[in-house]
Amino acid sequence: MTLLAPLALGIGIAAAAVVLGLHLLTTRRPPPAVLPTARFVPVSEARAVARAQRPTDLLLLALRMLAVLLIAAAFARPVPDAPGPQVRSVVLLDVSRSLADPVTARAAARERLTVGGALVLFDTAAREVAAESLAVLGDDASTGRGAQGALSPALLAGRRAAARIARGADSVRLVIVSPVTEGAADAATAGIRAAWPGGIDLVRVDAAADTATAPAPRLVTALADDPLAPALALLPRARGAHAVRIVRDQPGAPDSVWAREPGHVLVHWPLADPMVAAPDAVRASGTDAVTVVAPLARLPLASGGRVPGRVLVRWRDGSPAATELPLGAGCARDVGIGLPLAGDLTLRPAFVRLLARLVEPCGGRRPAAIPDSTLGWLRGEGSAAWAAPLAAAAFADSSLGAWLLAAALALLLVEWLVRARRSA
Amino acid sequence: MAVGPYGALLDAVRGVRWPARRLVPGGSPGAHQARSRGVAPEFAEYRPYRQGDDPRRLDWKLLARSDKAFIRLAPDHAVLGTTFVVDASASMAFPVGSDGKWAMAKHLAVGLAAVAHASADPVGMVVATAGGARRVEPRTRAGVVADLARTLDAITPSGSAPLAPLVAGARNRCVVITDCLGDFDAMRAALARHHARGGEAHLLHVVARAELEPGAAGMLAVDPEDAACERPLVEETRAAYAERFAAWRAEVARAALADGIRYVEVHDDAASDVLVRRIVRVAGVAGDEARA
Repeated sequence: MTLLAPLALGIGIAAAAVVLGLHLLTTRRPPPAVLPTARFVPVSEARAVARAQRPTDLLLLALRMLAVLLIAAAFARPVPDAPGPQVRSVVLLDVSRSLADPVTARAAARERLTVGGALVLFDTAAREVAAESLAVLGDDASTGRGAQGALSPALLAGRRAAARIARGADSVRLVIVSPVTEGAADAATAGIRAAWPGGIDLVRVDAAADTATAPAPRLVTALADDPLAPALALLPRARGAHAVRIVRDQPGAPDSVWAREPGHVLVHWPLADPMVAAPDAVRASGTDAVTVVAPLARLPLASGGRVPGRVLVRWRDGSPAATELPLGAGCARDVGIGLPLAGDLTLRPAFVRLLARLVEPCGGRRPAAIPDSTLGWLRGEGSAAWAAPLAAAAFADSSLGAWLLAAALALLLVEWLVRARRSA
Repeated sequence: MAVGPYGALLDAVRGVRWPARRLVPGGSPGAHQARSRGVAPEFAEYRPYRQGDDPRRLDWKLLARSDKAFIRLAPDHAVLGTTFVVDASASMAFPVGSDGKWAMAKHLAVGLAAVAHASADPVGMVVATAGGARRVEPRTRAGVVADLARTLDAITPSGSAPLAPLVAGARNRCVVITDCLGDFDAMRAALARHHARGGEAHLLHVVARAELEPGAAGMLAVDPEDAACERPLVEETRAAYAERFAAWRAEVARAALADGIRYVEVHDDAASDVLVRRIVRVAGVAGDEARA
């Protein structure tokens, strides 16, 4: 049995001592005695404080002290101890596309997953799965759709899983199997990491890297002088195995079939009526955020902006300007940014960078791995975390404290009954 | 005479006299100087004869020598009726068990009655009890002191009863024996009126040693005449109690003496014969000297 808040038990013992003292002091009513001159005694409480020579009402005293101690024990939050020294592990397995070799990552996770441990899969989101599911996961790299694993949701899910498995364990080890690429940590990650009471076993796996040079995006347009053409010419050659097709008209069935192929990116970017262009701004957020301010036309997205896809670019009021929807093994992008047919907008560096974001591989560009030397804050010091504090989070599920409180209330009820019977 | 427990006291006060503190009204011949002049053998003064005087009181020899008619006057002596008003309220039955205050009150009443009766004064008594006044009418006969003793012995103090109405009907010498814890103000006013009418007023304030020095153990002090009055007498309140009790007794003495009442504070552990001698002493009326 481990007490998560032993101070509460100490306070309870002190309170029981106070109860004992009060019992010896206040329950001692001075013996009545005839004194004709009692009127000259100063008026005060007739139940004067006096020390009892011998304690009386021992049953009431015992009930009160026991009730106080039980309440204190309940607030001390007892949790049952593990049968013996037992270390359980929570494995956070990155299943994003940033992994170069998911099989190796899963093998590393399987190696570190202990009996009774928990498995959390994460990419941009995290979810706990049964530890046995690790064995049935295939070798397909597309287990996760996110470009990279986000550490914050993974750590939160790991903390919840640790609180669940901590009861009955001696300590809990947190293992992260991930390449930990750029952007994996956000502003909240450091705070969430600091909440973990122990060290983290960080298993770095290789990040996927694009070695081949991707072909230039193909522009399918009816305009001879499409303004996108010079911008595409200015695009640096991207690395990767993906192919991009930009369709300025309504995409047809062949386009959709093509987009389902692995690594294919179909960009539907309709032409705009130059008369409806108005000064506006679009922004692509992320590590290489870019903003373009120009006379632009807001074109309705084919999905109406309600399809739960990934938003690549937003208008200045936050409404989606370009979205990505997975399609088979590839993806389809819908761009609602109407470009002016004249002017040098498409030649500006900002627009070229915006265009580069729109022709990235599905799920975004694969980020590079962070140097291992900069991840000391994530590893921390120590190894496994003591299980008892972790189990505090699961205390609400613990029935022992509730039983202790119920017993204390029952004792107080009995004390009241005994007192009422004696005073009757 | 059935003297019972008072034998030693009566022996001790035998021969003690209790002279009146002022001239008594005329009446039956007695041991106290009266306001009137009589024909006693002792010569006091001459007074010119006035029409209506008894010619037998003329000093014929003086008339023969001076040819002036004078009446020969002599001091007259009369008896002084004495009434004891004894408080038999519950507060007099203290300390519990020994009833020291009540015992002292009885001894004082019997002892003083014996002294007064020895001067041929009529002696009577009124005992204020919860059941009403118990009276022994003033008599000069031989067994009146024994009657007083029997009456007192038959009474157990209890309840509470006012003393003022009993004082109002007292004779020339009124002796109130009480602990002053009842209707003190009314009783004191009645005694003051009695004194103003020419009577002697005595107030014997009976105080128990246990009231002056309560036991060290804490207790819930309960007034026997007022059950609602129960207050803890513990270490913290003991000093304040003693101070307030002493101040009250001083105020009682001061008020009584201011009204011309002879006040004596008697303690239940004092020797009753000594107290009797001190009470009947004419001098040393006021102040602490008068206290036992």
